[in-house]
Amino acid sequence: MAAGPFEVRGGVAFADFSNPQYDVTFRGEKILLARDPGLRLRANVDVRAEGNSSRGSVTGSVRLVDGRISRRLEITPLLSPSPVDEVFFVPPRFEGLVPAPFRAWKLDVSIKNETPFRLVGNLAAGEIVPDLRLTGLVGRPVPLGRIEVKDARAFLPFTTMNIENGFIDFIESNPWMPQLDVRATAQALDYDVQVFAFGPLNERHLILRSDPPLPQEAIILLLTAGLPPGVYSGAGFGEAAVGQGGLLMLRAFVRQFDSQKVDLDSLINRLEISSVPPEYQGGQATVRGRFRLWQGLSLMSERDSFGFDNAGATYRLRFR
Amino acid sequence: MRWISLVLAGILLQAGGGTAQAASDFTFQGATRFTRAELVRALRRYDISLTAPIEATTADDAAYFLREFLFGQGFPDAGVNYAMAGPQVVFTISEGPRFQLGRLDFSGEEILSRERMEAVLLAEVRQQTHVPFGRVHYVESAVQDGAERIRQAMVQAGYLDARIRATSACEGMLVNVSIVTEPGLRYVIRAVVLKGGEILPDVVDVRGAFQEKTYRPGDEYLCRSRVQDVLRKGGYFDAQVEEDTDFHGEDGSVHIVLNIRSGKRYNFGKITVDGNRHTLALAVMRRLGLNPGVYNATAVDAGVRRLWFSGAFSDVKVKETPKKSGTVDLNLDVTEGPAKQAAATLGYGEWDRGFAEATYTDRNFLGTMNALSLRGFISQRRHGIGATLSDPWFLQREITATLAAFYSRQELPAFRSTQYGAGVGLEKKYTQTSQTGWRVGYQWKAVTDSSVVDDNVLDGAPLNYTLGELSFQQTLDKRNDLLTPMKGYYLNAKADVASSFLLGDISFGRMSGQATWYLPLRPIVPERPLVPFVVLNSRAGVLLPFADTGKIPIQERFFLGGPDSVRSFQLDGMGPRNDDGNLEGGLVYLLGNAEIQWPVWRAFYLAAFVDAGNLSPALEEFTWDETRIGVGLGGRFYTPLGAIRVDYGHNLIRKDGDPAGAWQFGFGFTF
Repeated sequence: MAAGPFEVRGGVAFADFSNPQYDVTFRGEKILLARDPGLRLRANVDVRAEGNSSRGSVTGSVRLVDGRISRRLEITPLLSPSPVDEVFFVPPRFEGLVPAPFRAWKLDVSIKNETPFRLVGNLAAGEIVPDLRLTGLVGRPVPLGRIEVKDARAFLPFTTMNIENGFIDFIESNPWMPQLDVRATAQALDYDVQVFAFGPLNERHLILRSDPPLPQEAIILLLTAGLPPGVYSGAGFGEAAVGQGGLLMLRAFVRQFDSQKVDLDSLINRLEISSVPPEYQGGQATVRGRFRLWQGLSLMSERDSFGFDNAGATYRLRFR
Repeated sequence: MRWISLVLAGILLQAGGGTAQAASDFTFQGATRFTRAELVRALRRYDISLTAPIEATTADDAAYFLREFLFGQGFPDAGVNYAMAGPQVVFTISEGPRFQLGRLDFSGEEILSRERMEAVLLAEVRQQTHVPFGRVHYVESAVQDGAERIRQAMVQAGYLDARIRATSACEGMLVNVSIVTEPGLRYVIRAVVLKGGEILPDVVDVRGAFQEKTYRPGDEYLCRSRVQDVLRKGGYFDAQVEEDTDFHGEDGSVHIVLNIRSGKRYNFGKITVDGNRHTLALAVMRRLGLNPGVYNATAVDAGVRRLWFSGAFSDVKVKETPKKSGTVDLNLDVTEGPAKQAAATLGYGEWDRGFAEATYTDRNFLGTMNALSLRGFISQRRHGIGATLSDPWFLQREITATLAAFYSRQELPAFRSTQYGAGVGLEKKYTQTSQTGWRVGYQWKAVTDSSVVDDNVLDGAPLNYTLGELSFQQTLDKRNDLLTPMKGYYLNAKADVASSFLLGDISFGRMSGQATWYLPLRPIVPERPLVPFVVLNSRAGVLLPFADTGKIPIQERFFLGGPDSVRSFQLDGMGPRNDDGNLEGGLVYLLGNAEIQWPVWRAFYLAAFVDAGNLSPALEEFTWDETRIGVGLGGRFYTPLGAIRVDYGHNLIRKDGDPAGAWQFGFGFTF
């Protein structure tokens, strides 16, 4: 199956022709489960189906191997926004898919990783860790457990979000309504941003908070456009727009060079360009650039609202 | 059990070459337009690395993704095969001709407008081929995906049985695509039946929200989930709701039956906290914000979120244990995070020479989960310090209380000053979505030793003064979108009083207000989210000195002009001028803006506007002669993050010193 070796072993015993006994085991290595330009999913499968016309079960395990979800950030979607509504999670429909008597058989198949299932690309990175069980009946399966996103980072155009907790829970009392619980933080310019996404996947809520506090729309623009509040127009906007536009173009440019030795994305993610509106009437905006060197150490350079150039080094330390 | 080996006993199927093969090298054959390096780089984009040992499954994946790459480059007939030839994998590539997308034809029943279907399909193709503008390559899979997106849009509109066929025909090097849609019936939820359990009024409301509405896939699960939430909010900790849904294909009706087992009603029991080494348990309990009485799952969730948002914890887990006595005990297991941050900057500036800056923030100040922020700056020409303490859960409500104080001494090229002051503020937001809320604050500020290079600039206005000011602000924001509003309204009112009774030298009352309406000229529907619309904006303000206060400091006055004001003037560039021609602001202003925005191509809009503003030196000196009117044209490009805008405003009425017009650039909505 797509180069993955497999074997099917077992048989059907007709001791009673009206009630045949089934006992079939399927084992496969690196069996292809799904594949498209953004997803590659193979698994080692060991599933046994046994039973008869009145009862039966399907049990076993699916261990995901070399799973990859690949997402790359492109400028195209920003320039050509999709007019399609967001696609909702649609629970699969099983009615009529499985014939009797198999649809009444019990199901108990565990789904876990055998090797890390990675989220790769420059849009997001991390590991997906499923700990799921398919239970219920073959004709009406119910997933239970959770999918965890570990060590994940989401790369927004001008910020990186660290996903500290990312869970999709499949709970028994509310089957086929996955519950989202994602907590992420980001440091954008001089703001600490917290994002909490929660609730049913199709009715999720998103709360954004920042320290120092900003309105929701200002946080969105800070994360996505890299624009601090107060520079959406007038003094400071031109400088901010040139800085952020330049960063975006630089990022698009360096992605043409697929260097294995230097992580160019990482280098650009360390660079921040911001603008601060003038503090007095008729002044010009301060334009500031900051480059993170190592851990909390960064270099800063700015042209202030009087046109003077300043430069310095900053050390930032977080502790309990 | 005795097995009879009658038939089929021990069927054994083996396939796929049971033994794992692996190669150490690879080669590409047949590729004429791409080098080996380019193909390897293309594979890397899909996270495929052809390094030894190359297993058969890796080779299979590589062949698949190479084919995807070639499709994306406009080779719809591309084929890639592979063979494990001893130690080498041989990829055989046939590129075939390269085509571009030609005409798009749509036929069948029009559930979605042709315009939208074309936009959906082209957006998908452009995104897959990375071509934002101009002619796109023909990519069979992208066209099929685009067609599927159209089908999904129809399904989301209730046409569950929608079918779509995309066929293509070559015309030279162009491929014309024909899309035929068969939407079928629209499904509607005709009945939501509630059986058993406690039928709370809110449960009935949930039923009302779904009944007679167009069915969207998953609505039955959503309905069940909401009913369960309502029950758990009302104390039914172990409420169970099962759904049974019937779809009637003959008339498109959907019947949802919810079987409710609400169970026992619980109260809150004992609440304990673990893991809080540096945080006061009492502070955790207060921030959790639960009141004794009936158990409420929604309140527990909101409390846990509040704890996490405090910034004191990297994780907050809650374990709920129901007791036979009818209570639910809560155990909060918190993991304290790095809530403190210190930063120090050392540098050199042209004006300041050597300087040092330090900031310290503690989001768990003294274990109370309140935030303290300190900031200090020192150089040869400036020094200052500021402190802010804020409590986002003041009086156990969603009220943010802030206490701030500052001191600064600056010697800048234009002026020098010493300022110090303090303020206290309260801010409450009622809802996340409408952003309505109020803010009240008091600040006291003293400016001493202030001097300006050219004393005439301020035209006799006090340079050194103290200000005791009480302010109140109320906002009601009912715009349909935070970033790109096209419908709704925004109201804001602000009032300030400064007086010697509030420990200031100068006394005045200042009021200002803003009202903005967004009026769409067509209904905003998913098929046409970008509609023409009109924006009407008005702002007014008046500042009234009293108690023998003469000139008002320039910092407290109103200014007009700029991208969000009268656009035929640069920022703050309109209004009365002194004898030297310098702007000195005013104490009364009126502003009116009318703008129409019309989509001309996709997300591009043209805008036409009229701005009128009047800024007078004082209420008693108000005259219509100070009115300026500007007209102009602009362009808008709506991105998912908001509009990028450019405007040119031309002055119809010009006085001495007024410019002919001005260019304005901005991001986001105008008013």
